[in-house]
Amino acid sequence: MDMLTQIIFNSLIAGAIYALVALGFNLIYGATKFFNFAHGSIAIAGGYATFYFNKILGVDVYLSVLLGILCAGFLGYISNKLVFSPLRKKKSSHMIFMVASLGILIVIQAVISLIFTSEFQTLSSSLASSKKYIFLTGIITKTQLILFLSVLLIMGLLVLVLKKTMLGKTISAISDSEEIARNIGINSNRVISYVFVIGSAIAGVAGIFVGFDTGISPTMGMSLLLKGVIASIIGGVGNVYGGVLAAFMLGLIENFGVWNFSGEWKDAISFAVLILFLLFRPQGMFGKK
Amino acid sequence: MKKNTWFIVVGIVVVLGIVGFVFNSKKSSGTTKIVALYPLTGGLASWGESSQKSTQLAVDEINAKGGVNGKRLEIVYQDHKCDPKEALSIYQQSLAQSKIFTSSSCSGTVLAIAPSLKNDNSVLLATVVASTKISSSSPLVYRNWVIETKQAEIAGQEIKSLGLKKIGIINEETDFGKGLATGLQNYLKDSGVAVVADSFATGATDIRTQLTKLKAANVEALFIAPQTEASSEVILTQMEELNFKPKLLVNDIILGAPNLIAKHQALLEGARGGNFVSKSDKLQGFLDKYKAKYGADCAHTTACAVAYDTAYMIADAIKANGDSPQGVADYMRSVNYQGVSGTTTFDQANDRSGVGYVLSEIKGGQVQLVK
Repeated sequence: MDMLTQIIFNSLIAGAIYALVALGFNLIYGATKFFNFAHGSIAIAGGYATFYFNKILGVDVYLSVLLGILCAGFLGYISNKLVFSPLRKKKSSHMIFMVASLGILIVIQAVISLIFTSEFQTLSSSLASSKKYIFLTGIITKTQLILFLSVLLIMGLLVLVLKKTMLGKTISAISDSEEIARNIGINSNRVISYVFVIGSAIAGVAGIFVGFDTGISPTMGMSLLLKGVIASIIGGVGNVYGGVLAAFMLGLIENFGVWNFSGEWKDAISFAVLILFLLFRPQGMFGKK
Repeated sequence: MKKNTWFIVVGIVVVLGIVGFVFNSKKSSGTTKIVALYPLTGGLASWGESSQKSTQLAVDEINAKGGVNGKRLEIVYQDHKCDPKEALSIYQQSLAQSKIFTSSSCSGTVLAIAPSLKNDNSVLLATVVASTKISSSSPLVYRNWVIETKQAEIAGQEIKSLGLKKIGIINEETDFGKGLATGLQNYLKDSGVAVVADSFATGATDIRTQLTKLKAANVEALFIAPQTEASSEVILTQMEELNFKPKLLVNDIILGAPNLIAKHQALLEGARGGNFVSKSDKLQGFLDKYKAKYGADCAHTTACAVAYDTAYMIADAIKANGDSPQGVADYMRSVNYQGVSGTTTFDQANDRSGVGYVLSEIKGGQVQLVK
């Protein structure tokens, strides 16, 4: 019982990372309707870009984080411009988009491995030196607290953009039907470019936090993406709040599962939950927005 | 026209590939090739690099003395990344170059290759692998290292000598990690010591809840059995984060990682574990040569010594029986090699005999033998 607070903290930390991945994935999926595998590797690329600026070039940590986010957004823009946009022009099937995104994932992984090797890298010099806070009987580090607050902030900002700005309204229109949106004069290509930049930048934030919290390696993009996607499906694909809530729920289920069973069941528990949802509530907990 | 252009480009690439292959084959007619499967990237890269440099040091010395049977010895280094699938794939691709293999680190990589050796008529001299499953996995695998059960026994003996009543185990879910955890549990069976065990998947970066569970169980000591330095880093970092500081028993991955020990010195101070230590008068001479050639000390002394000896043993085997895999295997069956890592002989299960782990302790950031 003493450890209940700690398990909840552990769950919130894991859930926050899943939430960041789900937020970007949901946004891109909503507008493009394809499963973007590249999203996972773009998240990790954001982490490595920050690592490069901060650890190799010695740039200030906050500026490095900003540059990492920008790099992830730029990678999202480039992947859309060079691959997905031409495929859209050719009216390629969703399967082609998915395979192309898998190709991008592999290319980004390979490039990161070539530049940084496949060594595990951590962004903080020592997490032990990171300030710790004790609430009840649980311990949470400063990095993790910032991570948790960032998720809430990014979710809030995203909702604000989607609900209150013209860009948000055009994204919603494209998410409902790209064809109708085009017919009423929306430049869908440009809006989708923005979507890729914003979604990928959010993924970059996830990768950067993973780098600070636990560490990154070039091939961890896929597993990171899958947890975000499970959260996205459980919450209802395209639903911003749903994705975030489901991400935290997934974190809780996983960690209480590990507490009651064993660490080797962690991934099996997540995927069992996914299968249950796909079988009995494929629209997710909250359905579409 | 466009289609024809593509055909021409593809044709040129294919022809260039064939020419390159033929050219390289001719060039290598005066050499005997051996394939070395090492973890050159990933969580055990430093072990792979140490093995590679030591092997190359031996090969350079052998070639300087005229090579083997009038041919130069050449090592083709391949990176298995400590990944069994990758190891099997590069093993299969390398068969065209040589059927004599040596390897370093990661029991899973040897277990992935072992079933294919007989059909492929190839032989493998594996180093730095400790899983019990490797024993007798194939008559064509020779293990130049110590079995993990002996490492688990050292930890078990320490637990008993300290009179501990409740211990925890956290292991990586690999053949090596699981083997160590099971070995320790078996050793402590019926000893009255309560064991709380948990594990984590390879690549997992969040094992806080497993550690929280072990902390809540109030274990007096924790035995840590990671496969790589990367997973060791995750465990130690998250233990520090959770203020979880029991008496530590560690495996040779942590004992052999000076950077990790320096980074987590406070947590690891006093940690004990079994270490495979070379015992030979020739060892210091080898280490001096290594430093002179590479400008730095070998990071993993025993792994370096064993890789160096293994290269010499393969050369001796080829000298005696020719460069056939079966000839090398026959030679190893009765080898008695006095090298820089001590005396190497193999037992009935093709495991190195007469060697064991010695209890070591981390003191002031250094690994020292416990007298």
